[in-house]
Amino acid sequence: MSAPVSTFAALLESANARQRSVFINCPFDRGFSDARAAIVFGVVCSGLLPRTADDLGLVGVPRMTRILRAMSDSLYSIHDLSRCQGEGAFNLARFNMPLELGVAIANGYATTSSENDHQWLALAPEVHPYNQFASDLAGYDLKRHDGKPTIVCTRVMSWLQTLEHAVVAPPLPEVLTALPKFLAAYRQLNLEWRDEPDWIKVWHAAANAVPV
Amino acid sequence: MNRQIFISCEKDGVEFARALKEWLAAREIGAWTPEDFEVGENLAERHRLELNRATHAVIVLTDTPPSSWRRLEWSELLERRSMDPHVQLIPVQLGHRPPPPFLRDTLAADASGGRDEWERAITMVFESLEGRRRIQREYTSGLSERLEQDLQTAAEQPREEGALRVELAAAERALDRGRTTGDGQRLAGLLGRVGMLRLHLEDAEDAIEPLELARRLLVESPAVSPQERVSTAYCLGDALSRVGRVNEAAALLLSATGESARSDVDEFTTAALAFRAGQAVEGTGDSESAQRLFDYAQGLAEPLLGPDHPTVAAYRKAARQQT
Repeated sequence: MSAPVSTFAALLESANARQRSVFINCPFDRGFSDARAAIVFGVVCSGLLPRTADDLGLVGVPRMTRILRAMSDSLYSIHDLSRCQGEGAFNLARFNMPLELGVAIANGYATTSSENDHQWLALAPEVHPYNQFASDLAGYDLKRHDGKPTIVCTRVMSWLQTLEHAVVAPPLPEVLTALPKFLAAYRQLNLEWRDEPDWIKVWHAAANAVPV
Repeated sequence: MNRQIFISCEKDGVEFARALKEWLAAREIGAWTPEDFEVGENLAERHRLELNRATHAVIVLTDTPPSSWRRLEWSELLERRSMDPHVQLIPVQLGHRPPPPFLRDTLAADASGGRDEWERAITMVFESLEGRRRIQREYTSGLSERLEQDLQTAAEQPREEGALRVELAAAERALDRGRTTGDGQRLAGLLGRVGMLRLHLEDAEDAIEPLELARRLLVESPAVSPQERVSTAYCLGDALSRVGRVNEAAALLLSATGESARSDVDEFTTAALAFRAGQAVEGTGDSESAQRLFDYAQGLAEPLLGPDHPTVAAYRKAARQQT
């Protein structure tokens, strides 16, 4: 194990960074780890840059500020509502994801030029009553998935391939064949970094697994 | 052949869609456009029904940026095509806006010159529907160039130790604040993070104490997931190996490999632990046990990653070196 070779910031200094950035807003627990990796891999296979609130390692900055910064630096975002269900002793749901989805939706309306409109994708589990607890979302067609990495990756890539700043991805079967290689690398990083791997290492592992 | 044609367009493509639909209707070919909703219909259900039964989708591209709704429609069509390669997507270019990535390798019926070109474009669509026109075209994705450039940008940066040091300082502050907490699991998390960051900063000696404390707390917390315990053991075993305490490292990593194999931890993680345990055991001079562990790691990883994967190759090489 060694220190990261660079920070993710270097990539974000390149031209068109905002147009290439996809903010990923999804559960960070272990149960969602493979699905999260599938989202990251889909983003990288489309030639885009996966972003999270922690990708720049701004440890002294409040979390919400980090999220807002990363999201406003990203033209696109992907949100997963899988964990908005009661859990724990008090049967409480986590509402960070809908909160951040709300920010993304507002971002989409805040820009005056349609070229710079923030575009977002929301994912939800197959049986998920989001239209009951967040009924304002009922007018939107959320993409459903069963949590399996191949399904999540398919859902994400089919949306990413409609985005202007993405590039033509390898055929989906090739991406899905390569996905286990990235999952293995991602698990190794999680093991070495106790589930908080440096983002540049995650991006490196994904870029090296892309079937080109 | 039972053709179901779906026409996808923004508002400024509706007129063309109408013309296409009429032209096809004159040849007894039905098509559905978003104008065909009927009063009282559930819009989302009808839309989904038409998308799901489409055998051909004509996608009218204009100068208007596609709406979020349109992107979702396209992505549904793309998913349908990935499941059924017979589903055909036929782009019609009415404007000059570049097509979305999924259509860049498909020859479009070009009517970007204006209304005079509509008839020719409609004929091209018809020929595609009849299977008389080749619609695939050569297109360079640009992905490998983009990734190569990105990798180069990332590689050109100097080793960034500062960012890790800042993270470590923050983790140490959080640990100071959290020491008095009665929550053993949370304290273990804070300790583990400090230890892990010290380890990544090549300070294995100082990483051991917090990692050992974290491990002890995690063993005492029944609610902790096995993954968290083995992850901490992995870091601690690594730190112990680095400072030459190989017997302790070997014992710890062997026990963690066993726990991982018995629990619902994924097989790749178990393989990684077994490999690290093998390295530690090898350091004690027991090459027979080390080989067994390397073989075990390879046996778990190979079905997941294939024989040519670098990780599998590393496991295989380590096993061979013992013989």
